[in-house]
Amino acid sequence: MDWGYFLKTLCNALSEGSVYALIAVGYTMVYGIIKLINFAHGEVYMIGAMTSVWLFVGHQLPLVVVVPLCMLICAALGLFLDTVAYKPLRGSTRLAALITAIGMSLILQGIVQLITPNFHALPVDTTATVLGQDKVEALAEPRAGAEVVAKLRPDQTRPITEAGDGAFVGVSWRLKPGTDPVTVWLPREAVRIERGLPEVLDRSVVGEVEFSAPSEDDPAGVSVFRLPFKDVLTWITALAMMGGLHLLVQRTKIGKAMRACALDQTTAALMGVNVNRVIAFTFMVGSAMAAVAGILYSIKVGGGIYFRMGYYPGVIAFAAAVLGGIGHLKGALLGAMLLGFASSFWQGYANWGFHSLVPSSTTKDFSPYSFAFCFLVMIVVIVFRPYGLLGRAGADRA
Amino acid sequence: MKLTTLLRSDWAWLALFALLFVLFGPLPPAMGLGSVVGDFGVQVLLTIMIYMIFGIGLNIVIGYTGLLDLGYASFMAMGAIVVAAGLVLTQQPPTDPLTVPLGDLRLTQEQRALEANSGAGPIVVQYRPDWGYDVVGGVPAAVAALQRAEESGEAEPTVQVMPYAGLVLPVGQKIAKGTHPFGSTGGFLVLLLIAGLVCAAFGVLRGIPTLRLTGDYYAIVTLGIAEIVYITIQNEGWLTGGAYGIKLDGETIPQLFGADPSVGQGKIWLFNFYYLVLAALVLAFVFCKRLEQSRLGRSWAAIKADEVAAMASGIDVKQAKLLAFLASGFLGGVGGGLYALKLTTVTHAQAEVFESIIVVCFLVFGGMGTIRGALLGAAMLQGLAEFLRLLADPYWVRETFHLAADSELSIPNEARMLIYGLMLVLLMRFRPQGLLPPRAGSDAPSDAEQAAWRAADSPLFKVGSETA
Repeated sequence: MDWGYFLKTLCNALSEGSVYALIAVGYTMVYGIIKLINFAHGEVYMIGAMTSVWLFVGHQLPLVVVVPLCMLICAALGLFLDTVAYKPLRGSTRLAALITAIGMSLILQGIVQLITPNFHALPVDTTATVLGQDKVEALAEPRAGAEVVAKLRPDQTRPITEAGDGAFVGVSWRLKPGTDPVTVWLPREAVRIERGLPEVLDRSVVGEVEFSAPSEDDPAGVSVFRLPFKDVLTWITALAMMGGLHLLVQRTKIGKAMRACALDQTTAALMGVNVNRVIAFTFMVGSAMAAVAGILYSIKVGGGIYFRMGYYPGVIAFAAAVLGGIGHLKGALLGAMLLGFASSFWQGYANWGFHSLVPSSTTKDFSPYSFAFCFLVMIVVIVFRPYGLLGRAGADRA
Repeated sequence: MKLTTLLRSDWAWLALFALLFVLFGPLPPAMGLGSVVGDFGVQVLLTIMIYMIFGIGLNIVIGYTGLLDLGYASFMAMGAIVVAAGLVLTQQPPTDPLTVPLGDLRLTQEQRALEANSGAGPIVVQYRPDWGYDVVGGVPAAVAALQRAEESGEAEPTVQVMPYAGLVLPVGQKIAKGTHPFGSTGGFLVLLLIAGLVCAAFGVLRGIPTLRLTGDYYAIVTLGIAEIVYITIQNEGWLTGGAYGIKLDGETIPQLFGADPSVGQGKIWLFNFYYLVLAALVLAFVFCKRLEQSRLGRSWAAIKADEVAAMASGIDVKQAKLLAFLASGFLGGVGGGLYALKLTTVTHAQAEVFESIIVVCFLVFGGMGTIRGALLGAAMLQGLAEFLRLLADPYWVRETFHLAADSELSIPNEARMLIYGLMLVLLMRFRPQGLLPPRAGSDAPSDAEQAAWRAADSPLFKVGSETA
């Protein structure tokens, strides 16, 4: 058993679950009150991730500015969604509201795609782009006269892996197809550097553990597990946000109004609760949480920020909300963590499991089925336990 | 007959569309096979007809039974894959040798270096247009033939080769097709039937666990199953070609009524295919219309109105729903099979969620629960989509609207998603019943009836107003 690999998978599972949990609370709160699957919620998350990368990487703003700004932007987006699309349909059928939600999801995706037509993914790495007319020699070591291992054509962009001593920067370069990229060195005056995520977020490590992992080739092998700072940041932020939300719902006046509306809107209205304002507030809070999820995702993964990125996490977060029992905040956290574990451990261990069970299948890669596995979990839960793990039997089941 | 009555008649709409399709479709061989709307127009009309079949099929579940199905693309894609894979995988290796010019054989440096051996078995080749024949088997024999030709000094030496299974042959040569089990009209229709049955079976299989679900839980479960199908199609390359998809070529596309596209009869083949699709559309329409008016159709209407009440009235809800999934899946499979021939390249993109949502858009736009709504929605929205595709081409925009020669004005193709989304939102807001809603009075009491009841102070009306 490779414990370093196991801990790495565990770490990914916790981070993935944290992101899903932050998205899932938006679904679960909105569904709890107005019984609507807010399909556009995944797009709110996507826009949160996009704005955060735009501000954080494009404008190099500090994180303490980016987070509240993104939350504000997404809260405004949530308010906009509710006011423009869902509020006029309060009296109509739930099917009409669901179709409107799908429509809003398409609209937001379409707008983002039109604004950002040329990049499929926003750059998050700190990169070096080769300038000038001629090829630049990439050296094996950061000193003049070192062995030349490769030549980079102008306008090629590579992620910077090591900053070096000032005269050289280390870039990641794949020497042969099929091999892992290695660090080679370019003279600093030959490249243009574009800043990505701050070093402290991107690469710093909280601690590391070594395990002995003897294998047949290498009896004295060790597997090292490094706990990245960004994962710890993701867990702490998600936990703090969930705790804050719990306090907001349980301890404040507006939280009480939200719970009242979830129980019975008519009675709540009769008791003097402004139901429309409570619904709008719910949308804003849920969207702000999705924005935080987007920021955490862009820090954690650092790629794949494009207009359709919200779809899968959105559907899986909804599945998490259903899994935990829709309408329950703790249920959303539990469901999200379960699905995060399911997805990450499938990606980490599905091949190993299938290949040892079915020896003839060793050439097949099973890891792409991780999302399918999440969907399967969702379907099984909806069919056999539609009220979720923490929900009560007999509660409204759509 | 009044115009409003005609507008509410499904048959009138079918007649109108069929007339338009015949008028603008390819002309019969006696009149030169051309078309008023050009080749591109014929392709657009074909797409519209196939999407009409999809619309009619999905309407059974969404419109008649009242369940929002967000996974119809799985049926469309599975039908297409069954047909495409059925055509490609069953192709027999040909048995007749082919005589080709020796100069067209392409050998690599390594192959040329091999030792010549004239008794080394057949030379197996694969044809590549604009290139020649790649030798994939019997290289020593090919080298021997080359050496022999050099020694004898023939003017135009030829050689006997065996075509590799599934190869593309140069236009005019065909031998492989005779051994294709689905290569004839009848064979293709059988394959289409298999596609329909596979999808119908999948519909029932998918329906069994979802029988108890209604509303948005049903929608999200169908979406989830569609995603699983999508991921499976993407990753099971041995059957579906994976990311590259399955490509149908001149040798795998079946003959239709004697016309074979691989021997320069493409126009006649397109004419035959066009009318085959039109016939399938009319059949699908009649099938659904009969279903709608049958006992089963009335059961579906009852389930849509109130499932519990339907059960209490003695309707076997489970059976009725499963039959709806079966019929809907069958039509999706048949439509998908036809779409495979139209597209000629079937990829996993056919199974995307957006494809499902497009067909839902047709029904929402045209009016949920009516076949005429499905027809109108497919015609207008698919027509719009093709028009947007044209608008995305700056050259076409410049030529059509007589703009300046350096104009780069165009609407990006991506705008389609935005426009569909806007349409869904605006329709739900201002006309949730769609353009051609179901006729009031067939199941709901008409205004006049309601007024009469109100005047009579009927208890029936009171109950109705309480629950409404």
